[in-house]
Amino acid sequence: MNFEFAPYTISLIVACVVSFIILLFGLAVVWQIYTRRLDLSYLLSEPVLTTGEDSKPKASLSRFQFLIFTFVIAGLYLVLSIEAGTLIEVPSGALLLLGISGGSYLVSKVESTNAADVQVEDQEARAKAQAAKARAAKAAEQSKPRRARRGRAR
Amino acid sequence: MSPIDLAFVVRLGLYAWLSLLGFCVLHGILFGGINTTGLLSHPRSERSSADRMTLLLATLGFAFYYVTTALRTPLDPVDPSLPDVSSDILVGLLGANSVYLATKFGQTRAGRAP
Repeated sequence: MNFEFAPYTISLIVACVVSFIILLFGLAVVWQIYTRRLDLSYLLSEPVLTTGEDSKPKASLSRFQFLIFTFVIAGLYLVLSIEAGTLIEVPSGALLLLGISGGSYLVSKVESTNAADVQVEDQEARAKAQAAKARAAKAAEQSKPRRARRGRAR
Repeated sequence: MSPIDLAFVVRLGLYAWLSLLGFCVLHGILFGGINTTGLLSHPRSERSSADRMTLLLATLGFAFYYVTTALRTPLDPVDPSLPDVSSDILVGLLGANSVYLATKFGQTRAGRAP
């Protein structure tokens, strides 16, 4: 048997396969989100500042802003590129906007992480101090009967 | 299948994907799947703050303005591009972000142990 394809047919088949794979990747991501295997619960949340039962992660506005701007710019880029039939240009103003939003997100994240670290260090130091206090109190209690015994012997 | 049919299918698929992704995130935000507790309050307080409200309004306002502008403006057939953002809007957003970050720094440092 002799299979001969025109180059045009081969390129069309490859285009079909590549398009199918890309769409499948996209669909897989959406399906994972829908079935909650990709957990988006803390998509907008900052690191937790306190430990304990009352510690709830709070949503961050800079994350929310970054999400909105990414959706707007990326979504419009995709839609307009499809409409134009070519990759369109992104003006410097839009890039600057994403830069401002990304910078704000980054600074906010660094600050939140530092604050969480400091909080954890504070809690550890407090716990150590309490443990040392408890140990000292225990040692003092244990030494009391000994002193009393020594006093009686004298 | 011709290349035109393929392009149509891919175009449809990408629109559907973008819409589904947006729907998943929007659904999560609206119905509690994504945590939005304390979006308008600082990490150490329960009260909402003006700087966060300003940034939220600036973000949503700008996003709405940019989407409507981009969809209304016809594409240049020679050199298609996204609409540019005016420097006034950039300065406004930079200001809103700066106030938000400055207040956040102030609040976080004020709450730290000496």
